Amino acid sequence: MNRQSDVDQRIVDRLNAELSLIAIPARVASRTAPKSGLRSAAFLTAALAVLVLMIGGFRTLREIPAPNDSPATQSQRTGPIARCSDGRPQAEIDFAGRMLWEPTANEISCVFNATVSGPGASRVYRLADGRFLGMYERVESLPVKPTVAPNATGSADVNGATWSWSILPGRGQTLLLQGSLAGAPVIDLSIELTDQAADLRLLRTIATSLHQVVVPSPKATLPASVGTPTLAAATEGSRRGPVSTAEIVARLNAAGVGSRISSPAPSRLLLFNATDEDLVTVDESAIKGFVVYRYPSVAAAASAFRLDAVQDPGRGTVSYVAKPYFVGIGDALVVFATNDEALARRVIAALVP
Amino acid sequence: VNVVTSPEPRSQPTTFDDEERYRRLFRALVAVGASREGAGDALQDAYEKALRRAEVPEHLEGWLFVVAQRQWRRHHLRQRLFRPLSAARGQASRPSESGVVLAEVRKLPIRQRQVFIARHVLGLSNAETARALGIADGTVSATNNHALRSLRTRLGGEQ
Repeated sequence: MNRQSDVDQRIVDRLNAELSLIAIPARVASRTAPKSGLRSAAFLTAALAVLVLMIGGFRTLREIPAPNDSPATQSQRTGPIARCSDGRPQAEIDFAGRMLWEPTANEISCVFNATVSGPGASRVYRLADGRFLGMYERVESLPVKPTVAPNATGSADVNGATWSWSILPGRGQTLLLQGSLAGAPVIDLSIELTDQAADLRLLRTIATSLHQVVVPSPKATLPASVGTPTLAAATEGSRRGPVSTAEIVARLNAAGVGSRISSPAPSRLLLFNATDEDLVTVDESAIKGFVVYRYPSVAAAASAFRLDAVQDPGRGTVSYVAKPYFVGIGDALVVFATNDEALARRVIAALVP
Repeated sequence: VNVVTSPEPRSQPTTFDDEERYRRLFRALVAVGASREGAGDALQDAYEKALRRAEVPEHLEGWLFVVAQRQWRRHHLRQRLFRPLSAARGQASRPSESGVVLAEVRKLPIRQRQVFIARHVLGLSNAETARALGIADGTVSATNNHALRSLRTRLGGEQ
């Protein structure tokens, strides 16, 4: 019996020794974790992907006017804020796109997390003092939600505008500074409260440093000729770089055409000299198939866009169950078929804004 | 700036700041079968859930273990369900951590694994384990014995 318990003990000791060799990543300060789903499970991220792309893609495409006259603060950075080494992967942060307004204060060390949901976007920044700053930006007015009564409230001046602040109760109190910039979305800045006056000064500095992000808008052109009467084609002539299928889906979703990337087909039929293809499911029954053909380069895609393979009977003919439409974007050729011309126009307008 | 002093500053509980507990829970999740990333995410979710509760769970460590484990298993199942076929061909995602005993522990049935890890990695008592897992004390004892017997048999040659 004793021998048996010795063996058991050795097993347990050895298990714990093996486990002790496992490197444990830096822990997220959970008490300061914002409500926006910090380090949420990857599945949730994937489930939100469509919404993320709707906003992210839309933002990158829309034309944003030149920066306003936000006064420069004495502590400002230039360029995007780097990702925290222990934060969410860069791909996820990129995936969320950029916010309309970003802080430039040097008090911010890095970006920890970035999420987008509906008309709102949020970022979690790590501050120089190690705390987390939550920033929430919403294009529409804030939704009315039941909430706890704040412990204290007040107002603060930010660039001549009146912002409101409140201290929210909880296990760790949160200082929230909320306001709206001229012609801009509502912005929430929140931080775990340590020293009320100092923290309020800090949030004001950060609010003052907010600057509008300028994203150039691509110019779309339609070709002079749209091919044979049975074909319709458009191209985004200004696109010089590659485009991901995710971005294509984002454009569709942003235009109200619900879509998502489908699982890979068991066997692929690569047409038009494509090297790869992605299938897209569109929530419109009138669309009889939607395929994104991929090419190794923009030039190769542009070559395929001439549709030689379709128009040259010697090289084969492709039959479609409905009227096919061809849209060239970057290194991709989007092909979809529908007999609903109005819908086709919507889709093309979404793809080539 | 109008500064209004908070009428009743609240103390900052330190219950959630126990780094050693976090490490134990992290290792326990890895022992159950989670990857390092999966364990970190699941634990973070569990801590967030705990923070959202009106009151701190009475037996925090066991509660966090069960909730984090549920999070991880749910996420793991979804990943397996929605994994593209191409990824399934010979690329089953396996935890990168290795160790003879760890590998054998991961082969135990899930209930035995949970009980064994709660008892010997987290260091919970029989009663605490029973409360956390919602089973009887006697079941914990029996399940733990089953797990140990299996491990003894499988690792007999190496111990």
